[in-house]
Amino acid sequence: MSRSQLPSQGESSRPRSSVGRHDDSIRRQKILVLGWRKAGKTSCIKTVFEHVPPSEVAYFDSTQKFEKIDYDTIIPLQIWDTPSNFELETLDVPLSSFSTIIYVMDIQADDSYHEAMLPFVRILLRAYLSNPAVKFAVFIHKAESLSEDYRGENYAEIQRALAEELEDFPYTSLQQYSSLNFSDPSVTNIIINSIQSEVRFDMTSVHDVSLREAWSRVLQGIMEMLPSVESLLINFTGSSGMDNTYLFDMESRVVVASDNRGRNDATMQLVTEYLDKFLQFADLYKCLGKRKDDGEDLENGDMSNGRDNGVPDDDEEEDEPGSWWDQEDPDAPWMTQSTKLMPNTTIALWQFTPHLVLVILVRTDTWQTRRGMIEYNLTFLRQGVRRILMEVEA
Amino acid sequence: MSATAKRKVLLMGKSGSGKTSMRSVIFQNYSARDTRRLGATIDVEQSAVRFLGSLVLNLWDCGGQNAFVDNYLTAQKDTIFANVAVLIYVFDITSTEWENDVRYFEEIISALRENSSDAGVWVLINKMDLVDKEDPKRKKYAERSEDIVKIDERVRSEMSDDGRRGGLRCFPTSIWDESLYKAWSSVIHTLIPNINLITAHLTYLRDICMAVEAVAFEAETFLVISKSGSPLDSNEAELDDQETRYGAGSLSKHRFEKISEIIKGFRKTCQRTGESFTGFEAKFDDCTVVLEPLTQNQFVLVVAADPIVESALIQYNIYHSQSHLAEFARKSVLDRKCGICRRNTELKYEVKDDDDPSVLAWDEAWDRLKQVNGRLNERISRVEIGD
Repeated sequence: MSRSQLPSQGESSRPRSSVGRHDDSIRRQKILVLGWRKAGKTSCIKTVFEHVPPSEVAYFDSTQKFEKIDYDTIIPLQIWDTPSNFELETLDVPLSSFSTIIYVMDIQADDSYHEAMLPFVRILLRAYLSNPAVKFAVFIHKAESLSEDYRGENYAEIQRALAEELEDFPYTSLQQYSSLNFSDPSVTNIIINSIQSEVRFDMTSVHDVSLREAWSRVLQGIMEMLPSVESLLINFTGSSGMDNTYLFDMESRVVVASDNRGRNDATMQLVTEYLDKFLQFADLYKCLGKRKDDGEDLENGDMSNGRDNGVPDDDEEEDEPGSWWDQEDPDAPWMTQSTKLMPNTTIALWQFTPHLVLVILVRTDTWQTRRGMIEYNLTFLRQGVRRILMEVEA
Repeated sequence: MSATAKRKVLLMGKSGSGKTSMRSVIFQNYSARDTRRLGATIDVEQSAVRFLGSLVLNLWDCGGQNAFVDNYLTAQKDTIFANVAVLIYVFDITSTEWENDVRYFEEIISALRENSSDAGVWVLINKMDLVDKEDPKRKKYAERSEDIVKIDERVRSEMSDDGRRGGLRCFPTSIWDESLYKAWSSVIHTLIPNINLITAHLTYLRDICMAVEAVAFEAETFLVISKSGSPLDSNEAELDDQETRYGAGSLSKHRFEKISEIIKGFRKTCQRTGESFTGFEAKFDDCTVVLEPLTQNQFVLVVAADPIVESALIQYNIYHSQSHLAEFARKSVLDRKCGICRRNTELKYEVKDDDDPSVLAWDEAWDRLKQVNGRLNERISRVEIGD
């Protein structure tokens, strides 16, 4: 496997302006999803990125060959769904071109954690040796099938299995892939320690917000602009009296950035479901707005195509010559919504870009007394986030 | 606008067909997953559900084991089948003993027609989610509902007819999607007293908001009660002028039951963090939408598709209609002069300023405003219709 001509990890998310449409797949951050047969790889991907309802995951056939799913959000992604008999040798791109490797494990298969870990450890080490910046995540899937107590136990068991498999691994068998001296225990110790601190474990389930949270951390791991977007959000949250702010990818309902304060499952579930339900609702009536665009103004029609979140637009690349900001009508109102809950909270959202929407939690009395100020500050936050994205994409 | 009306609703069907599950989803805020906890219903479980302040549904959830059913048809026949407003009969589409199911249904419907001849019958063929994968065109449902209609006709012809017989309607349902809300909305829609009056007020509210539609939902169940303009199930030809002008025909026909499902789902999430849902306002794609409490027992959804309509306008109009709409479900003497109520012949209409011409009735005020703003309105509608 030759590594010399590959783009290095840091660069792959920054397409040079010379990158044309046919190089689309290079521009995308690649994510490799691995796991045993029936572990839930396909459901992890499709329920989040292709709007497949969780009730249908039981009917998925097992994946027979690689499936590459292109997904456009704050950064362009390419997610690789793999068959269970996956072999490194069948990969037609170098292992080092993946920015993240996700290993999906069925939490119920507790008699075979070690067996399941072994092939993963091999791939993990090979990937690490070819590109030390690669990120690893283990999705401990189908968490809903176990009660709270068992879940924690099995989680620890899986972490232990990884540690032990890393310890016991015959490192000398990797000698051909690296110039490091694997017979030196201090070398292997460094590798073991650094990998152990790199691998993230997430408990996931298609039936609640945990799967989206896990994907959120995967996305954030490869977002170079994360710190700057986060600092904008934190600044806004503090200066405008917000409780929390979240920047969501609209289609997948995955958080791409937040102010990171008091992020817990209950509020994540609340804001995610809030966004999801509202977008479902908006879908019922959005054709009223479209109808006018068709009749009167073709430019407007274009713009609402860009904002369309109902249909996954696979061939977007072909019919869109410019970038999203060129196609927006600067005078068009942004999508916005606010929901009042009793006794305390107001949740509100504003659309920032065709893919991104900001969701905030705020005390209702703050909202009622300072709404004007909040919305004023918001225009600057929106501008700031958009500027960062334009900078990254240009 | 009278004393509380009590209506008896029978919920019947074979054991395990999902009667108690659907009752729990609709009236007790269960999610579809929660219904797995439910056990079999023993004998008859009665519960009273207050609806819109003036209507109480007496729900008789009748356990479906054969022993119970035999008992309903013999010893308890007079108690069970007397004074029934609605029978909701639930079938399980996956049942393997269709002949048997149908025979029981025939006996029950005969007993019903004997004792409560004008009761409406709603047949819900449930668990559609289990067969939709293999039978997407719903052939089996079509066959089953045909069988049921035939039985109903046979029972009718056997009766010595006195002309008055309640109708029968068939719905495919699943507790996992919005179809359940559609069926139940249809049931309660026929039971609500003054439904035409509610519709007339909603249409008026819609008109003053220059909106596409105004829809009333019951606050607890979020079942749709009524909508402005054309009737709930109307097709494109039946839409009124304002609906046609704003393109209501392009909207999904299932939108109301979807909204019921969406709002109920979200409300459940809110409860987990100790908060309760009290409505929202939104703007997207030229639509302005407000969902707010209308009375103690109703929410109203107003959807405008005209960019000049701001949510504050809608909220203002809802605010001013609240007191009147709250009183008219409960009282016969109104505090607020209202032209819509006055023209309704079923109502005893009394109000203190009724004979004072300087005090405008609710809808007359709008008529006068229209005259004053005649030119403005003409201009607005020209823009809206476009060319």
